Amino acid sequence: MSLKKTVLLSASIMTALAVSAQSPTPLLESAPKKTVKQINMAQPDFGGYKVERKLKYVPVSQIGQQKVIKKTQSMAIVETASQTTVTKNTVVRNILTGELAPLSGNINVLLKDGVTADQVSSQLGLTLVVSYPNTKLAVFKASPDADVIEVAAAIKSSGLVKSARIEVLETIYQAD
Amino acid sequence: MKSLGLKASLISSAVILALSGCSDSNKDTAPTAKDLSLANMKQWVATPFTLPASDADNDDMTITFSESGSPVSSQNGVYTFSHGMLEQTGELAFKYVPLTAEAGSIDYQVEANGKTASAQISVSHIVSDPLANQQWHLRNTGQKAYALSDEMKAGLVEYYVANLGYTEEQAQELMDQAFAIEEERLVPGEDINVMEAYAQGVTGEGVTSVVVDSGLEIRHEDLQPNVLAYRSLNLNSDAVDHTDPTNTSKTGDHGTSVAGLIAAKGWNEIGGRGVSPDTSLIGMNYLGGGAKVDQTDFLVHGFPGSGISTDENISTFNRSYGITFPTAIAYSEFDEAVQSYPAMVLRNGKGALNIKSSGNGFIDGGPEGSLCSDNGANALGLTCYDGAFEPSQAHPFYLSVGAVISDGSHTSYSTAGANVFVSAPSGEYGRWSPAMVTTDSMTCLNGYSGFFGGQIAAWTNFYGEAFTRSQYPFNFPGHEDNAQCNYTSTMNGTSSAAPNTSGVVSLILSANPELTWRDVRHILAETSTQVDADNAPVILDVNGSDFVAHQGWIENAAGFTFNTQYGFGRVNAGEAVKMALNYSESLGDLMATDWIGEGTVVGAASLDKDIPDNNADGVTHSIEITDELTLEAIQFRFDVSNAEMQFGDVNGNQTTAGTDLAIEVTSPSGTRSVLLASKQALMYPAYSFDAGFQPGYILKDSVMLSNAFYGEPTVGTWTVRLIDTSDASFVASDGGDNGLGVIGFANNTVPSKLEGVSIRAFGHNAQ
Repeated sequence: MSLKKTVLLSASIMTALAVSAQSPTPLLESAPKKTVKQINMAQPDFGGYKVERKLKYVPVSQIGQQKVIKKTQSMAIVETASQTTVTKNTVVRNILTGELAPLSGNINVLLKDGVTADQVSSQLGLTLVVSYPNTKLAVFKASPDADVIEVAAAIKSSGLVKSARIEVLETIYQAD
Repeated sequence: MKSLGLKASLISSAVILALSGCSDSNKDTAPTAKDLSLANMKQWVATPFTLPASDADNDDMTITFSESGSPVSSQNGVYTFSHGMLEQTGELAFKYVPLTAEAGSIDYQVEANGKTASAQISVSHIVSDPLANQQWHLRNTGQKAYALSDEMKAGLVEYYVANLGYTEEQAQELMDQAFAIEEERLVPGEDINVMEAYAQGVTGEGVTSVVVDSGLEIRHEDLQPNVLAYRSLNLNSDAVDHTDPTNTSKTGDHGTSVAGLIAAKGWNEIGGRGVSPDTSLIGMNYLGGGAKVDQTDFLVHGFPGSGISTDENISTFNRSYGITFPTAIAYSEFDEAVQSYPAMVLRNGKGALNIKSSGNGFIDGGPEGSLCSDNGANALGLTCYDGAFEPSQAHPFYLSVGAVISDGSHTSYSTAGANVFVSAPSGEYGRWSPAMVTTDSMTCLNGYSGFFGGQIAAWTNFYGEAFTRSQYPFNFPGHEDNAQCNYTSTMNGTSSAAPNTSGVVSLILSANPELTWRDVRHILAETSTQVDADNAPVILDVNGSDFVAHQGWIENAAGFTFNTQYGFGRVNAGEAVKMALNYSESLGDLMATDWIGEGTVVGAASLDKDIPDNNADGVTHSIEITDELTLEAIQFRFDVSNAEMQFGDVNGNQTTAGTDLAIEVTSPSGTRSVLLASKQALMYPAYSFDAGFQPGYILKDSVMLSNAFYGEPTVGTWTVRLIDTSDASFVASDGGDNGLGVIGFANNTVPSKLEGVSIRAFGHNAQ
């Protein structure tokens, strides 16, 4: 659905009686003014993401006195002491959308031709979550205390893969 | 009037049956005609029958038809009555197609050797869907689909009188004129021709479409019969029931409306009808909703764990979503590997199709602010966002769909690009111009229709209940056709064009499950309807020379017509199903060349070729392909730099280097395709999922797909030309209300550089 449809009206609709170039008969047509989000140009820590080291993704049941940034039914993003290691449930910010999302702790990999997922697993000491049949795609899990960014870098530099991508539990896409 | 597949040779106002040439008038007996009752038929579906007429003497019989005393003559062998259409398929063999749910009758008279007999065909008990007659995309009769209503006009007149100082006569005259202009766009016949598909007995059985979206209300009254039980996925990590992707948003669920366009159950006397009304549905709530489960990107492509097996008859994954951001996003081999899985692995290797909305960025998108107004794109009719910005639209494993309105022409918003493969109806906003009538979250407490629908709630808050009700009569609670608010009349966007295409693809694969995903693409390219035939080119004056930024329709060397706004045209279900049922092409194995090119994109030194500012000659680069293939798609990869392509300069301006860049390609056969028209919203430096923004680059590992060369030979010289089309600087009329906060756009003081270019062709062995 077109974004225009879902954007809330603003005061500008009252002035939308004026002719618009977009429609030959725009009388009172919905033409709300957009609120444009400024983009944070901060250099990403990996991919298109900035690590929010003072945020953590935790079960709602574990929320104590921390400030809650975002909450769903069973999970929440809360403020925490600065983390040095990037692991599962570390929170990152997408620099394109500005949205927060947690890491799964997984690294998704496109293997080079002739390389198997087991090779990567044994050579780098990673847990293989799944190797997808009929493809060169596999998912590895970093150990709980390992820094995922460092693990991904090690995978890339191993020469075994074409691509290694840290999995962020978000959807970057929006409805059309 | 469309033919229902009958021979066009039956052009007469009466049917002459030459059963025998022998007669003797002295002993002649009169012919006989008996009454016939046709009942329990499906609306729009043909019912064959034999006319109970005879002549004992075997004389020639002439049959004439009438309704309510008025004779009805045939056009191309089709008799059209107020309630249905009659076609002759044999001497006494006919098909009747109910057009409405109303009962009716047809009088017929048989004449033989001067003697006559009369009888009646009664039509009753038509199984229908009450909203189907408003679904113009399925069968366009010029209906308004709850737009341009009498209530709307009366509400506007009242508003103008009360608030804007108009007299009632002035307001009425203004609205009469405005409505008359819009009503000219309600053009009968401008639809996707589903009736002809149904007439061939194809309604979508045996295949399943996966709706990857914001949700799918699996218990919706008009979807539930087609929803495969316990097969949908709730991908939210904290979901209680992972088999239920129902979206509980009060303001509407995009996915539920998308699903209805594909496969709202047909002929159940409830709601409307999907394009493929007997196709099964699986829903996955990929969009929105917070943190997702692990491996979501794999699951939404049908990988193991999604519950989809490799031998299941999945027709499509519908993807009515995208990224609308004013930058060129780099291509990713990883994403290609994921996104190609449905096509390359599912259906035992025959493949399922990813049907992708092309985007709603023709006019604008968001962070670019007023750029496309200020640089002239909007006024010229050039696309603000190009499909080339988004890498998932840069490979043949996603099929991009543009959107058209009720007269067949381009919508105000549909993103154009050489990647667009076909187009489909979606309409405008459902008020001044029809949108889609489709399923909506059930009850008046959820959904686009109902008290909390975004538009309804906002307008009611602003204008009050009465005016809002008058402007959106169908979506406002209380409309007699939508008493439970389970349907909406304002769904639109390329989000609607994609599911309408998913429906057509489902019909194709239901008609012939042996077809591969590439066969389906071929059928769509062959059978889609060329709409807006007079679509005009857009020619830019570049320092005294012409540059054709938009070509309108072109015909390539293989005979395919193509347009960056429409692809190969609007999908045509009837013709596509007909070709599917009689398919004889053999495309063989899919072949792909290596990436062939020079410069940084193939790991070599930069080409370092200047793209001269404001110069229509630009810079050209030629690439030779020696592999002999018949093209099915071709990709072009670019690195184009400009040191000024940052996040704005010290004066608060952004460079025009991105918006001035145009790219065209000419094939060995001489066909020209525009990959970037210029004046597009390339406002930010290039971006990569793996590396973030790439300051200093307009394009970095940017891949663009062109379908314009479909069917042409690959061998020969491909010529790429890059042009900077302007030396103008201009003020941002948004005053800095844009993503970069810039107040203007300054012409680039240094030329952009082509650092590398390569191409990769997909196709089959030339025959």
